[in-house]
Amino acid sequence: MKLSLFVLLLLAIAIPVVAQGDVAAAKAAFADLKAKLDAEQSAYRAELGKLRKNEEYVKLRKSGDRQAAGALYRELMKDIKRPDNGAYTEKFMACAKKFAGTDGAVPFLSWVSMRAASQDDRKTAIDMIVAAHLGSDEIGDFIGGLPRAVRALGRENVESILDKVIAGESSKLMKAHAWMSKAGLDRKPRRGTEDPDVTARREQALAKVSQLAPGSDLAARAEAPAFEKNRLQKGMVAPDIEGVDLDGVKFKLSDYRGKVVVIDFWGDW
Amino acid sequence: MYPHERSLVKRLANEKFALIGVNSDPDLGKLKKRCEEENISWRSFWNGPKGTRGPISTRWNVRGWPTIYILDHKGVIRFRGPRGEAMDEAVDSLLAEMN
Repeated sequence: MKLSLFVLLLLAIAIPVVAQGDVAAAKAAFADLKAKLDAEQSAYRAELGKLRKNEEYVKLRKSGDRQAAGALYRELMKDIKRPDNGAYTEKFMACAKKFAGTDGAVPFLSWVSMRAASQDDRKTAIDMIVAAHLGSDEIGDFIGGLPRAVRALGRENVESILDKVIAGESSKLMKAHAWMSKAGLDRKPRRGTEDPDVTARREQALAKVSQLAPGSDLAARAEAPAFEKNRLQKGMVAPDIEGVDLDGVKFKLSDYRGKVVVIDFWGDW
Repeated sequence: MYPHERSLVKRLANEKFALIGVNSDPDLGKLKKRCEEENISWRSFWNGPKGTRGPISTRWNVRGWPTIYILDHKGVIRFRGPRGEAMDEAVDSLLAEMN
């Protein structure tokens, strides 16, 4: 009797520890696999970059013969090895199975839910997360990717997953992610006018993000559209920027008051 | 884009003008090397290791690169977006206002 109680106690302590260990091991395994894929992808992009500088191809483009240039491009592309999405989907799914029953499966399933070429594979991964991990704190990326799953699931189903997270026992941060994705479902159109009800729904969802996760990166993203609308229009005094330059020296945009200033958001890509 | 900006900065070196970048390259080491190679002399804020998801571009709701704002000498936003020659003309018109 005493012994079995002891064993039970030991199990009660050990199980959560094992589960946490699994999550850490899973995260490391995920990072490894993802790094391999990233390396293949950047090699692929580098090859494509070289292709665009191919002498014959450049000559054809300059001559204005776009059709011939396109044909040559497609021909040359055949020799370039593209990362095999299907093979990676299988690898990520195999890892998800290995860590099944713990939240360690989440990053693998998240990847498949967003990146698999097959919509069916995406749907399977989403169903697995919804069935077993919806209350987990590891599903931020997954929730963030859900607006892009509308094609695989339909808008109603995506919305119902988000509503489940919001109504359930998830942490405030996960609920904030869910509100952010609800706002993502009601994205502002690039052109044309928008139904005022949709605008109101989006703004309400974004306000929820700030309420639930104030000061977070997510809240900063949620607040950005209103910041642009209220502070960054022509005729407004530009809000100050405080930061460091590439040498780590602090400076402010307002240091340049008295001069005409071009602010250039740029990157070397 | 660098050649255009280089020439703008050079042409207006003695004017009350500054080109301030907000750079979203996550790898600072690589970036500094590129600045040397490309002779990029103007000052930039660094948007941090999160790259395009860094704090400055996030706050300013920047979703496309490059994004341009032009401010007059009072710090008022006067133009959003002009590039190439339109950028030069915008800057010249604001410099002319000061005289």
